[in-house]
Amino acid sequence: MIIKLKPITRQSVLRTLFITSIFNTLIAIFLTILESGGGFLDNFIFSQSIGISICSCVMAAYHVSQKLKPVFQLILVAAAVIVGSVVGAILGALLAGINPLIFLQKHAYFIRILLLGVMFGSIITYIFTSWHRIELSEAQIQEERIKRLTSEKQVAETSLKVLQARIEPHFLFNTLSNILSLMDTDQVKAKSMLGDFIQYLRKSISKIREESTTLGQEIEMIRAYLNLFKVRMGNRLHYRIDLPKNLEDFPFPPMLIQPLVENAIKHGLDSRVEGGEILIRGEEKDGIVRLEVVDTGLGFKEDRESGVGLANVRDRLQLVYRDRGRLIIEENQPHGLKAILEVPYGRT
Amino acid sequence: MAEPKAVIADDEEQLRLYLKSKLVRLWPELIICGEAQNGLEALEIIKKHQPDIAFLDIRMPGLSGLEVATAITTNCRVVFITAYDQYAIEAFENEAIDYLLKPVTDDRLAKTVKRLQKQISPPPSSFLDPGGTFERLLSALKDKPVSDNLKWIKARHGDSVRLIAVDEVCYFKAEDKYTLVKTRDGESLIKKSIRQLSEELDRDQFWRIHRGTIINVSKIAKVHRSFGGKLLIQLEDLSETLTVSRSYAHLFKQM
Repeated sequence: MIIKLKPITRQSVLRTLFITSIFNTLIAIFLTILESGGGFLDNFIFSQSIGISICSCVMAAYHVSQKLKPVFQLILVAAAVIVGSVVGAILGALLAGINPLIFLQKHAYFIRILLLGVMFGSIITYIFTSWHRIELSEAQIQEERIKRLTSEKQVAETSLKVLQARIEPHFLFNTLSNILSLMDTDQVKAKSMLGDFIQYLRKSISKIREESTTLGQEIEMIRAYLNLFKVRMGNRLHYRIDLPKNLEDFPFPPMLIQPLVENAIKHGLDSRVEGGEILIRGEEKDGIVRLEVVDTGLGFKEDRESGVGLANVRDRLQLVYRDRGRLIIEENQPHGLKAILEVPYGRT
Repeated sequence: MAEPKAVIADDEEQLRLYLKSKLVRLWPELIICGEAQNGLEALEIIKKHQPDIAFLDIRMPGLSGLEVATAITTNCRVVFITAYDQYAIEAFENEAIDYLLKPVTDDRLAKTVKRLQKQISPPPSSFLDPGGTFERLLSALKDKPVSDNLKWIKARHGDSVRLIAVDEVCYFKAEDKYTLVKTRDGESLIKKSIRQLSEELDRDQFWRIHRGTIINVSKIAKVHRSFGGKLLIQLEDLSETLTVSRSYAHLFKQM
């Protein structure tokens, strides 16, 4: 049995010492009743010093042996009990006004004290250890419960956020009014725009509940999304998508790329009078899939809020890939921003 | 009386065409004297042609519709157009300002046209913004009160400049001449000193816990007291602990 200790804090040490001293007092009373040893005062002094000395040694032993094998841990703790009793007995003698050198003559007396010390010390150490284990496993169960609940909550929250992002009202109504207006002027274009809109909605909404889609499908969705903006923004928007064939079937969480593209349009191109270009590029290198969303828009402004969208992407990366996925934002030259997603190629 | 003139400003061409075609049908006398595809153009056209009416999309590059409205100095009645701006619409209702929702419907546009016709003829009253309504609106609708706090950190990584949102930073730590910026994803070095950072960062979110350390409070997993009485901070997602120096321990007193 390996004993994993909670971090040793001042509070936990003080508590342990306090409980130990109560035990010590009880032992002193017990010994006095049995009429063993000297009077109550001597018993009290000895049991306190031995008990506290053992307790300190054992705590120290647990602390240093935390990373050792259980067998070594046990040996160390047993040694600590013995060392603790010897040190405690000598301390007790000093406190009681007895010259510890007297133990050299009175072997039997010394051994009796040691035996009592080791016996009680072992019992109390055992009790403490068991307590600690129970406490720790309860804490672990609690922690796991909290962990599970939070991650369930996170999943629910993020899928809600994803849903909201997909049908962002401004985007929705603007797209619909464009389609409506095109019906009067250019029915062919209206049809194709409606087609893109349906494509976007189908690809995105039907995937919300799924944890993973493929990169190819995500990119198709992005293409439809960009086409919608292309109609709206006309010559102010150009885009290019460059995804190698072998990455098309790569499993990928939904809605990680879309917020980056949305950001590039909203903060980068749409507020720039002359518009600009969006480039989406994917590659696999050294076991890492790298996806870049580059825009030539306004770029970074000091007062720009860091944005819910990006934070959302980060949370989802953490949820799916733990610390093996990341999002990096860089300045693009000569202007604009570059958002880079990096995820492991062999997804676990 | 001269025919009324109007300008349409929307960055999306389709929507300009659409509104124009509808206006032509509902108000044949109205002359569309100009179309603008951004706020700056709109303002120029308004200055040049002095129209009676300006249809302004709220979200436009250059200047927003609201910014254009505030900058108008001539007699010009403004009608805002928006696809979805919940707060703006509420404010418009309160200030009795004309607005149109995209997609613009015939009924709604007809109502607006009727009202505009009444206001414009016979003698054009002052359409100037008398009580500073637009300015009030503009400042009320600014996304958020702009704070001066630092929001982004620029860090050089090889040839590129990386941008790190401060919300993402776990802590800053002084290292020789540089400052280490630690995030969940990694580390960067910047030139800005801890002293400078502590002045520029939001004090509610970033606490200085040591002469050379600033932490992001929202990233604290737990705080505990070591055997020696020192306060140690464990951060979320990171294995290292940070020490709170005595002079900053009061920050954690209630814990």
